[in-house]
Amino acid sequence: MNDTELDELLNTWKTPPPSGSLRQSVRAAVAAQQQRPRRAWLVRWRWAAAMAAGVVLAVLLVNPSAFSWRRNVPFTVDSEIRHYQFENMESVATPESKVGRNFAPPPPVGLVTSYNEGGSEVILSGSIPNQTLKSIAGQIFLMFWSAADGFKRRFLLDPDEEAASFAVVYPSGPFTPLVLGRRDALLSSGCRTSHGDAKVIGEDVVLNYPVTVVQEPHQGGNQMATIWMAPALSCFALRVTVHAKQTDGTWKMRIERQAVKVEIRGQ
Amino acid sequence: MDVLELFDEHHGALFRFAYRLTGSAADAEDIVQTCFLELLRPGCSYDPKRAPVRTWLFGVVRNQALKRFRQKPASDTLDIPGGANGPSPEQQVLRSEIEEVVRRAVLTLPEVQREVLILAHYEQMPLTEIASILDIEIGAVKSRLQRARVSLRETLAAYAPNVEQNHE
Repeated sequence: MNDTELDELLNTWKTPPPSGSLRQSVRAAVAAQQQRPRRAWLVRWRWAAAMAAGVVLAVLLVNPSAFSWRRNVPFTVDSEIRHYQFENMESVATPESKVGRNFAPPPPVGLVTSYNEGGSEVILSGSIPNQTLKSIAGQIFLMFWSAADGFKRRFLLDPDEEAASFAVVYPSGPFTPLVLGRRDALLSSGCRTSHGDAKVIGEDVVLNYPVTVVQEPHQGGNQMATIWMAPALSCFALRVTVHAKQTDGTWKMRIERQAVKVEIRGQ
Repeated sequence: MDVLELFDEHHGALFRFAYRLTGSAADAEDIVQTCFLELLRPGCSYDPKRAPVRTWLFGVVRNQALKRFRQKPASDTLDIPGGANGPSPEQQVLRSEIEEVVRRAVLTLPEVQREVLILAHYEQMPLTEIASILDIEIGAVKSRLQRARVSLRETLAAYAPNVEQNHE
């Protein structure tokens, strides 16, 4: 058999035409596929995304400032936060007392690591003793909050606007800021702010840092914040107390934040 | 890239290729449909810089067909096609018989020879394009095609006169 004969034999095998429904099937399948591209993408990448999220979370728990927008952290301060229940207190301090406590403190309800950037506090990490899940949730919140705040400062505010913005301190966490006035005014005055009805009540030393002690009324005078700010630490508040005014006119401490460790970076 | 336009342009050749690889019209249609859906899949492997879309489509059909063929040998699922137009009932019977013999002969070729033969003989594809679809050297294409034809010549030797008679 020569090549031509073989070719002729092979050519006897015909194929049937594809059915008319094939195009309709493809058209329907294409339409269905195009309606769920996002879902398909999610299915494809969900495990990779879950693993990446786990890695990020683990890194954050080990090094809370790993993904911070801020790269130049000059110092960090570890602080303890305590809350006071009136009925359990034997005695209370007055706003005029710079020490502010003459009773045994309760265990801290929060531990915070933070620093000051341009006169305003930036929380790097926080935890709640004996509350692992709440600590993790809080850390995740802090990550997003810090990223949003850092993004705003870096990309939305120019240096003049940032200097003119208000400095804040967080006596009891990120949800309860105290405003201390313009940052530039605070820094240039050696932390002697006069924002609102604030007034300087004296000077002190906390953790070997000279501090300016300022009192600032809040909530129509029903609360009094006392803030111990260190000029050498960009007016970081090494100590903050918040007192509530009682019906008999006396003051009782509700919140106390006390620095326990200052770490200067690069030393 | 409009999938339906590509379908209109290529589905006939792809269907013939799939049909001759699997021996089943139903399987061939499934394969062709899967082939075009593959184009829409997120992370689709088609890269226009590497090969024309036709080459890629034939490659997908080939892989799908071989996968099915390994699960269900084509000789178990041979479809009986409709008769050719024109010939007399006797010729139809004879032609149908020859066609069946040819089909079985092609489908019983080793996979590597069968796919080369189908692309070269039935689809009249250049050897370079076959090499690209199968991801092999042109020399391998030639040798596989040669072996396939030698094998078919032996298998179909007895039917050559019938073809001549049928054509006369």
